[in-house]
Amino acid sequence: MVASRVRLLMIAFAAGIIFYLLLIESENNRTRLGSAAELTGYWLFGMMVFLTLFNLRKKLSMIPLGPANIWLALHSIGGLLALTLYWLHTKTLWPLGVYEQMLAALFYLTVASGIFGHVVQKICPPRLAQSDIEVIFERIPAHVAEIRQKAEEIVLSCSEETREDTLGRHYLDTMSWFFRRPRFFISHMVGSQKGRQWVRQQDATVRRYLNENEKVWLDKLTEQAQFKNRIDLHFALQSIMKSWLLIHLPLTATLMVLAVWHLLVVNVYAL
Amino acid sequence: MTDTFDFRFDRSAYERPNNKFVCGRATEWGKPCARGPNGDGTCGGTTECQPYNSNGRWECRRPAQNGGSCATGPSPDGTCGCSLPPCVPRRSLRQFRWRLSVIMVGVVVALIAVFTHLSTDGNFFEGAVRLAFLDAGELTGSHSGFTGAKGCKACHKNHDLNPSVWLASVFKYNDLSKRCVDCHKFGGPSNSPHNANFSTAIGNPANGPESTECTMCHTEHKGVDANISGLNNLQCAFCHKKSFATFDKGHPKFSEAFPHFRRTSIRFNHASHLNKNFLKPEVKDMVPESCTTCHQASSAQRSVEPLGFKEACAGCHADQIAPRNLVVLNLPEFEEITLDKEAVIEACGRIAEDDDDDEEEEFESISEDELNSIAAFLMNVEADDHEAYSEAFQELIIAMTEEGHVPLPDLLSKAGIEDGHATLLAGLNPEVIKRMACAWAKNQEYELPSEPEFGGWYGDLLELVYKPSGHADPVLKAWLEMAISINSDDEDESERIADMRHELLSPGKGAGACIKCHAVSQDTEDGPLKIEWNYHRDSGQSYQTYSHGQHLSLVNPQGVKLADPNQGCASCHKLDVKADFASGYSDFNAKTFKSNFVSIKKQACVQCHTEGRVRQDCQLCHDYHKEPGFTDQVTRNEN
Amino acid sequence: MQDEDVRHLLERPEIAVIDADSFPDSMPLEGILQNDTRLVRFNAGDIVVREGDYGNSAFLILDGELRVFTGDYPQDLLGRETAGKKGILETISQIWTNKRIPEVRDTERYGGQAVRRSGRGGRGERQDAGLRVFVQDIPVILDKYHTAEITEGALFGELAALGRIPRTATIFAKSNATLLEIRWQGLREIRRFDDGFRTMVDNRYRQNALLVHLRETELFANLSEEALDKVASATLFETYGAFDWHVSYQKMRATGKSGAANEPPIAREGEYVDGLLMIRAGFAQVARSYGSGQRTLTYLGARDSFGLKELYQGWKSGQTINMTASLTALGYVDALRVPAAILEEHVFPGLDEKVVAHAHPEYGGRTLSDDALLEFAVEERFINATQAMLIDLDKCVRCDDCVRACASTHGGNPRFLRHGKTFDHWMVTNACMHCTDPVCMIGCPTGAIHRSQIGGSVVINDDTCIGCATCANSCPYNNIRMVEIRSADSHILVDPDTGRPILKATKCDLCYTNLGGPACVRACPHDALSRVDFHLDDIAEGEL
Repeated sequence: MVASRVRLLMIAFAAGIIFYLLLIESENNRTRLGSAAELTGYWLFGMMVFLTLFNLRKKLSMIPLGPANIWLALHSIGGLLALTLYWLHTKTLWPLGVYEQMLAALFYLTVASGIFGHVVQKICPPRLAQSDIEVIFERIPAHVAEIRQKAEEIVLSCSEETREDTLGRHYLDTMSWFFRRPRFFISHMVGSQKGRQWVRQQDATVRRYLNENEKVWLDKLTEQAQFKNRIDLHFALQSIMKSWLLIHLPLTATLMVLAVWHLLVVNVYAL
Repeated sequence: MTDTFDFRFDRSAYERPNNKFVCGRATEWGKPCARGPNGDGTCGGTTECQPYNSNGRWECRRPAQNGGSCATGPSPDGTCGCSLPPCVPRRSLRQFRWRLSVIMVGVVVALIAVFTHLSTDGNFFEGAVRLAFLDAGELTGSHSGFTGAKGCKACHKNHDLNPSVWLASVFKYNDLSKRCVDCHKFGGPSNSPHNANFSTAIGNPANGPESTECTMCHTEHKGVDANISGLNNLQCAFCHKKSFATFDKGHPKFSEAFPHFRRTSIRFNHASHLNKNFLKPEVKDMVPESCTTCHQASSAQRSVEPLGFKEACAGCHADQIAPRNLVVLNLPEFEEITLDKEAVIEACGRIAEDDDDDEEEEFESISEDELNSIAAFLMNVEADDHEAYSEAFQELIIAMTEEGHVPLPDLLSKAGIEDGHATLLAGLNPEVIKRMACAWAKNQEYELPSEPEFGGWYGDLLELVYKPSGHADPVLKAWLEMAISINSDDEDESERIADMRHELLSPGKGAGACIKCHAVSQDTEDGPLKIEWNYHRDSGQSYQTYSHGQHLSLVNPQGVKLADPNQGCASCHKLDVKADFASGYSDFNAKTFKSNFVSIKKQACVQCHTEGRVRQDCQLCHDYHKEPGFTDQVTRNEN
Repeated sequence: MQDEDVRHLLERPEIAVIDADSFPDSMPLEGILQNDTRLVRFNAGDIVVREGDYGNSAFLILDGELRVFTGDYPQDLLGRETAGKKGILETISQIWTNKRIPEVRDTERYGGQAVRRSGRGGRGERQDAGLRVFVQDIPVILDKYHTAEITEGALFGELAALGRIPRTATIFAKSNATLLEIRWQGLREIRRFDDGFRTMVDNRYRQNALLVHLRETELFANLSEEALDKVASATLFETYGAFDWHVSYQKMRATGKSGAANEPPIAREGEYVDGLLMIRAGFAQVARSYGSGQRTLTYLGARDSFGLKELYQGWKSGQTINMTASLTALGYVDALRVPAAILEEHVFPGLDEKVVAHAHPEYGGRTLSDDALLEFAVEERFINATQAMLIDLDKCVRCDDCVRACASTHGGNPRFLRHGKTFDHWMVTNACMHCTDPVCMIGCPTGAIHRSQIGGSVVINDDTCIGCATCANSCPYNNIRMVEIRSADSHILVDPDTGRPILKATKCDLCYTNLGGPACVRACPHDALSRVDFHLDDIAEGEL
């Protein structure tokens, strides 16, 4: 088995054992007439602080603090452990009290966004690798601009050389929209081939009105369009892989603030 | 994979993901400039190079990786010929993420500050909105109904304090349980287990806390209809010896003696009665039909009291009481007759036979050998110590002849019986005393005119006797109570008291036959004696609940209706014919005894109280709190 | 070189000793002297060769006195990095000292090494080629450090030029001197045609290096001194391909004519084995014909040998066994050939068979797909790599954490780009691979690029780099990038003389001064990035 999967399983197993031990301990605590909720609350808070440390670790890569892949495995499993600890702490899926409900909502959203991110990061990279090109996200505007320029050159050259403007007009009417910026975002996101289909369809649409010379230029234009379509796929998937954190991290920050507030309130009113 | 892009070092410069800003042209899907935005967010790509003045000529200095020297070259005044209008650099995604996080944190902090501020009094926001950031859930209906006016402060003393004090209270211990007893009170201290001070160890409290907090078991803010007084079995089992999950599976076996932890207060041998006495033909009409003739179980909870003497026992036993007389004084043998004859004659009248005879007559002493134990005690002499008591007794006799019963209270007082004379000597007729005393003094054979059949005091030739009038005769009761309660420091006296007790408390011979049926018990070895006049209600087991009444409507698994008078009771209460019932009453220890009935085993209950059938949680049969109640605080008008 | 100079040279005793007649008409000695040598003048103090540099020319002292360091001397004389590994406090302080402005430099540091333009570049040479590092205070140096004198007529540097060995010593000019620099092409030709010259050079090598090399080889480990001597004297020296293979390689790729078919062959499948081939430097491809092409079985580098199994089995069985695979030089190979007769006489008797098996792992039993990555590596010359950055594109989420980590350990500036040649779902990223044969190091005028004392990685000393871009242009993989440097207030620093922005060469340095090793590997959360060399056993199915 791949080393990373073995590692993940080992960490998951360890987390399972830890959870079981904590469960036993909290049950003991309850029967010991102590406050199980206090104990599990602190465990949960400690776990959440550990999870947020991951972001700090990423910012401190200059200091050897351990390999990030282990941190990520601990973070993912730790997140699930935190979810189970959360249920152990609240003993209910949905608490009473307005601010506790807000806290629960934030917690669930954070965990959900984390799981979403995990899934996205498993699905998108192979799809990107299978797209037959590799492009840096920040360079996509430059590439798109370049392709657009090339497409326009093709269309202009076609007009100049063949003295026909059919292709040119089709370009202005329809194709230029495609070359302006990355398109078919949702389709690429869900894995549909709509973009490619659209390009093929546009090609077929205009082909019947062109002569042999023009068709040569059309082939070149379609080639550029298909290339751009692949770049669009990269844009869509890499955007998702960059954007999901835009949800996960602000939610985490808000959650931690509210969690600290909860800690204060509980200590003032109950402990 | 197809490699379509140029990796050459002069065509592809480093990407810098840490940059705060991204070229604005890129955001509009144009080609971003080579230099990128400046650190302060202004466009860095307005010019492509910094032209250099080489010998008067301006030369383009665009780096090779950006295309090398441009074709147009710089303007004559030295500005770059390839200038571009500035873009509006946009913040990078990471920057946006940081800002979003900060904003969201700020919003939350602001909301908390606003809403907690609003939760103080005198604001126009009403209801739950005020407390939104403190609201931990609704209180149960009863609590919220009674704390409405005071609000959170009814239980949380840290509420509504100014911020720095509020924050400081994070580190202080919050004694919530103290507030609970503002309204709740119990039969004992609220902070000790079961609200009791246990003198003996029950179960294994080594597991449990020495003092308890209400919050250990009860939590609030669980909603209007939450059950905050329910406990789970494990919580109970924590303190008590064995920890177990359910009644049917792990609950300890009922103790050997359950439910007969002490002997009954009335010495009623069910076995001998049911199997022998009730079968005698002479009592055929009076025999109770079934258990329920004497024990009314249909409305009973834990204890099923039998009917009183009058209903249950008098039919057979009423006649047995009267024959047992209480002999208070008896005429003993004197050492020497010191009776003043003159006084006697004066008090009692002439002696019938020869009252001129001056000779000292040798009495045919018709007397008893010695004082009985009560007399000995009252006279404070040894029963057989003729010398000691002769004179005193004879003086007593003289006094009785002259004054009737008057000397007797004094006698009681001298013996150490300070009060209660009225009861002890209730019904005492001075005539009787006098007549008796005269008879003793004259040494006359005095016989009662007729056999006494109704109760009361009478004196005959040898004894001052009290005949019990019937069951629960108060005079006899008083004498017995006196006998068990009187004490003396003096050793001899104590001995005499012991003798008196022994005589009075004898089941076979004791006066009134009280002790034939009523047990005499002593809680501790040196403790005071107690005659159990009434049915003993077991207060020590007051934390157990059992309702006979609720069970009677049921049918046991053998098909017997529990309400069946003949067989129902025997489902659980089985007669133990072999038990030595009597031996349990041979001492004062109520706990050493053998019950008439076989102890009830857990199995009897598990038949129904088991998984999947009837509830079997601890709280079904056991109470935690002792006499829970409320203080007046609860309903006091808080305005 | 002028004809005049050539004639003067021919008259010199060292040159005169070479028999001009043994040279063919197509390649006369004068022609070689004209084209492959040049006169170089050094001022007093100029450093001629630096220890550790890769050189591609030998030097003949025509006039003047040179000194060679024989003991220890300060590394900064050579323009080498003098910094050591960062401590923990310095590591942590990077949190606040890293800059947001790209490529900020503290120019106060510069000027520590003395660089001047002395000597004249040859025709067609770069502008910067005349820049030299010089030793500033000769008497002090001479006083402080042990040096030996080298005078007129001495020839040095030929081993490095011929054999791809780093310069073994540092030599500087004590007085003004004139040297004849013979580049390796010329050396090779002279050696080829003139017996005397060849013998001289070969003997030098035999005496200085060969015995040591042979003794370290497992095959000859148990031989007696006498036998070893015999082997040494019988060993032949062979070179294949061009020394500066990267130039020809880049040309080939540009014109699309890459592939083993265009590479110099060393041995062919099916041919007679006339001796054991031991590779000293460079890389060679072991291939068998497969279909219409050649299928790579493995590649050999320094210390590998070829043909041992065939020779041994042939000797044992008494039959002749031919080559079972072809050997082709990948760019450049410098080899030793031990004749079969010598082996049969001195080595094979008493040889442990395990050594034979050891020297020749079995190849075969693998599918074309299994070996596809290897073929790719050979074709792209990634076999040169010791620390290629390989990114698994199926795992990489394009988060740039690796780039950010690299930047965080280098003052806020990343030292690689997350793009590069791809194969299936692997990408060989444009990060310095710290090659076994670092062609980037050839030609650095100041010695800024060198092999570090710490860990052996190839690093650039920013303080002494003059931005000539020789290394960047040499690197066949485009892993070195030139950057414009800025001052702390983000202005681009410009050379006042030319008006051009000052450039510095930058590349991955394997985090040799940082605690914890390469930050990129540590930083990838998805286990996608690794630093590898391309040997077969590292490339298991789906995992690296």
